[in-house]
Amino acid sequence: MTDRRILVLRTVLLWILLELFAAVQVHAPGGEPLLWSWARAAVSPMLWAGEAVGSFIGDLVTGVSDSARLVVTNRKLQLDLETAEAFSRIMAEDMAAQLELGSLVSMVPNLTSTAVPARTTFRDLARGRMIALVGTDLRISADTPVVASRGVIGRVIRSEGRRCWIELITHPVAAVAIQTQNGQVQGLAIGSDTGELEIQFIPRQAQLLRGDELVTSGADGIYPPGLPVGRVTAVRESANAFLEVRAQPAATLATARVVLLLEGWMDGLQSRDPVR
Amino acid sequence: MRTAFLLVLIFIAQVVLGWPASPGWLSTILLPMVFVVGPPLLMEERRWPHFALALGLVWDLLFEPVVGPGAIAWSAAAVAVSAVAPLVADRSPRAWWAFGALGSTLMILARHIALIPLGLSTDLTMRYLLFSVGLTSLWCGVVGWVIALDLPSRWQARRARKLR
Repeated sequence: MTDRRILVLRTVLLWILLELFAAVQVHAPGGEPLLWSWARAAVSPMLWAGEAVGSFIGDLVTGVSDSARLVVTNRKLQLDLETAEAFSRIMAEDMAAQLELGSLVSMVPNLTSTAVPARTTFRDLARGRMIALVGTDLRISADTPVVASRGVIGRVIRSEGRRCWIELITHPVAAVAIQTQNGQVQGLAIGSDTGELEIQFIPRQAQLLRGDELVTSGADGIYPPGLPVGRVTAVRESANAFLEVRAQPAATLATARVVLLLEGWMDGLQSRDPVR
Repeated sequence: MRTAFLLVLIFIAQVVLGWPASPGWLSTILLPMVFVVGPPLLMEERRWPHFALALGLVWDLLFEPVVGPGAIAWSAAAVAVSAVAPLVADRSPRAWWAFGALGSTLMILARHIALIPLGLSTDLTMRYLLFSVGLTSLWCGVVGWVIALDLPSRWQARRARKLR
């Protein structure tokens, strides 16, 4: 730094000191020296900034803790909502089951004294199996026929506690003695791997058409007569003495919520035609 | 010693110029400006700006409401003049006049600026500025002209001629 610059720098420094000295002599409107008000004016932004930073940090901490609380509360509310939705679904299911049960009961008015309602808890249509839960500890005997809202779905093959294992009519080894509504054509509905029923022992001269409804004949001694079993979907000539007939089960096995177990239906039979 | 005597004389004159009985425009002449303009033009002390501070402090004590702004203003004028003077070769009365104008302009402006933060500044009018700068530069020019006349040597030469 040259001498001239040092001189100028010192002079400027002197000017600043002189200005401060002059400020000490002058009084602000409040009565205090002007220098104090200058000092306060210089310091107040820093104080304000410090206060603002402190306030910001406080707000930030509060915000973060509030956010954490909000997240926890939100999660709890979500769980409550999910629980409420689950309850709602269960109630809707129960309501549908009640309606289904009402239609079931009206389907077998003469068997209501022996009918035991049960909720389906498991179904395996591929293997032709279903599990139903009985409301009471009543022991359900094997071969008890099981009907759903639109027709027969199978028979009980095992019972343990309140659980019943049901063999569906679509099971490959299941067989139901059937007949047409007018009783002129009789046969045997056998389950198949395709989920349809194969109607066997229908003579070639039988008057059977597509769409004809098939009901239980009671000839097998398991199912009470008159219960809907299925509807004919195909009738074909075959090489042997019988027609090749296929039928679709009347009951919707996939959506049946409630079933009726016709436990001891023979004992409670009051008329020849238990079904409407 | 001579400088101190001249300074006292100048300040007394400045006080006299500002007397209530005297015309108002006289007080606008900044008589001490010759002590700011003179040293750089006469190639004297380089640290004269520091002495200008003392001159300013005396000015403050005599004419200003607070001590400080006058010192700033006078030293600012001295710094500017001493910075510009080496760049100019002219040392004639015209240079005295020009540097007087420069110094007085800077002194008035610096004083006004220094008083602003203190809340003591009055309105600086262009008329006052021009009047003060004009009269002060004229004063400096007259001093420069008197110095250029070199009256002592002329007086001695005249006496020598008479004695012969």
